[in-house]
Amino acid sequence: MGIFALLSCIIRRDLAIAMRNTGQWVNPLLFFIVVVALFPLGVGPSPATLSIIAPGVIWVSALLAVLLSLGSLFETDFADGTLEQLLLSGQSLALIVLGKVLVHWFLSGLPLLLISPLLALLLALPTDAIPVLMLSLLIGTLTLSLIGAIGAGLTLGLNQAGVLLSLLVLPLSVPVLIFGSAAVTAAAADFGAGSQLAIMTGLLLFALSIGPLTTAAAVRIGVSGST
Amino acid sequence: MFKWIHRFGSAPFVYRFAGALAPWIGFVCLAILLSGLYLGLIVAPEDYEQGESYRIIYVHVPAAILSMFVYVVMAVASAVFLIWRLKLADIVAQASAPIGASFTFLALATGSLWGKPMWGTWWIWDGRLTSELLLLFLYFGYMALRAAIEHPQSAAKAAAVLALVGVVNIPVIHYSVEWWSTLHQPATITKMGERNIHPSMGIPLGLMIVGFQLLYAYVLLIRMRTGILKRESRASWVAQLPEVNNTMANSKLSGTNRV
Amino acid sequence: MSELEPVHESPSDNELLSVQGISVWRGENLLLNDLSFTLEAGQVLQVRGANGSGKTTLLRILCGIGLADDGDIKWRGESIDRRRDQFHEELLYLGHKAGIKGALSALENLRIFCTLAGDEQPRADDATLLGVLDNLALLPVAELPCRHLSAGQQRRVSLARLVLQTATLWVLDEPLTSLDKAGLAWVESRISEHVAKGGSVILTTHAPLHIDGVEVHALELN
Repeated sequence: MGIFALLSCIIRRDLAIAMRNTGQWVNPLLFFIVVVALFPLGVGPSPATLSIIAPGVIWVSALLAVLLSLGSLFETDFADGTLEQLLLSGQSLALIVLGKVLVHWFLSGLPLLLISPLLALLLALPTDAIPVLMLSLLIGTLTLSLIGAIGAGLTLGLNQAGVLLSLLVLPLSVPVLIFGSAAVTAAAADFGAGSQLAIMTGLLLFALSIGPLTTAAAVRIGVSGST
Repeated sequence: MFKWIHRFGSAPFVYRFAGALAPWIGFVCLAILLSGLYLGLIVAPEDYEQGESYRIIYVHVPAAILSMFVYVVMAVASAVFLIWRLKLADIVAQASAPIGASFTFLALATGSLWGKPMWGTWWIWDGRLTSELLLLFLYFGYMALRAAIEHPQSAAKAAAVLALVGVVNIPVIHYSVEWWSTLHQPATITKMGERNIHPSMGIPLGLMIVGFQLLYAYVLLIRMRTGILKRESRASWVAQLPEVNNTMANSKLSGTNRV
Repeated sequence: MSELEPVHESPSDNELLSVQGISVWRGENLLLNDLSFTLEAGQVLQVRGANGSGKTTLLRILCGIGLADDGDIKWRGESIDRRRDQFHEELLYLGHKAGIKGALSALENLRIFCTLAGDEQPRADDATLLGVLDNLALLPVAELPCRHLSAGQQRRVSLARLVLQTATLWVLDEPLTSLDKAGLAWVESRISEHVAKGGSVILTTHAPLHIDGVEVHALELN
């Protein structure tokens, strides 16, 4: 079976399931918006303060939203037994994982990126920085989905998997956070953000190279540990 | 090669070998640590810039070095376990994690203590301290994952995968944090260990580093023995060990006493 | 792999699955103790035992998705860990969990199974799928999301794979659960057809099996 036939089969499957289950993509988006809206309440409404912390706030909230949504990446397939059938299909598990991660990003990362200009306005971020914000979220959330999938595989079927997943993945997502918010900060101060975005692309390629294979190994371990 | 590994990697052999080796390493470690502390805290002169407070490097620097070293040992052991399925390698990784976390915590605590006289504050988001903090989180994640998975074999495999993911990410995290700290802080703060060190300070520092390595080896051997007993608790050779027989007899006695 | 190996005189050439010294510990209990057996082409093996005797655990280990503390499993003479993908292409596993997506219809679920089964499989068009669903009395609910189906109907959806996918070894965990008499007869005749073609079956079930012209070997777990 060809690579693209397999990928498209998995992508169409997961998209069809998500279409009939709106909570899957709406909830992370709502979470993102609500968390960002809490910051002005916590630190005060002064636009000067808000515009300084805006890149960090948006990036940390996006990071948490992606991680929270990752809990369901394999969990439902694991619960109904379709995950073990995917493992036994004789097809490349790394490609199956990649297809699932792409759909996950499409449903949880992409909506964040599309709503981010609105949140940038709420936090008084200079409008010139919005294109860089969107670009950094585009590269960064995809990287986070790939890294987070490893954690989702390792915590498969465990109690409190969500908290444990965040504990495992948050330290690994620090580079994305650093360069993502630095890119937006630089753009807001009218400096070029090219180098930060280039490094983020490097991080994405790194995650793409190790992510699916490691996640496949983690999923096999997770499934075999259940009885 | 494989036969050699299996013979010397067999649990009873390693258990006895570690038991015989540990006291020797313990004595040498104690002697080196004491002489290093004596030379460093009493013989070595005061630092012309930092006064007496620099002396914390004799604990801080070895602890920081060991915090990284132990993680690398864990990752190598995890790779050996995944590739050759050598259970002993997993015991090494599992036994190392809390030791590494302790060294990391010690490096953080001493760094923070040193920061008070130097920077006037207990904590500063210095690049190295931040990297250490993230390393501590990686250790916590490893231990939490091991503790969360009930099935022993799959806990071992999952933890091994996590250790490998961690070790390839550590350089990326480290350089990101370095870049971040130079971005946010003027580089006027003197960092420890970046100047040339006078031999009167260098020799005790070297001794302390070797002493910490031996301390790790000593604690590792003891923890490995415990780990082997736990894994092999069903094996007949464990039941025949004199120390196990005695404890079992004692616990039976105390049990009857209580009743 | 739709063509099966020709049957040879010597029994060792006929051997598909060989299990040696499987042991599984659950905490302090030895669940499976040094279990060994072989399965030849055309054999049916029924794994028997009380609840909690390790039937599901054994079946998962045989498929390569469970962990044994000790032991070796070989498929056509090769360890199943080494030749995992080839083994899985010849394997059909119906698990304890149905493996059906509740959000998708029976038709969609089966289409995914057929696509993932690979290129060597006969291409199953919708007419074929609907024909099989009709045989299983599922035609009226073929387009409904499977979560609205009864337990017996969901079981039938996963059983449809027995005719849609070609595999040498069937591993079936309680395939007869929540089936009515007609369903039971349908499964028994599929098994007898499969065996006639030289395929093998390992299954667990509490119901007595009546399969025409097939001797059912038993493996007792305690």
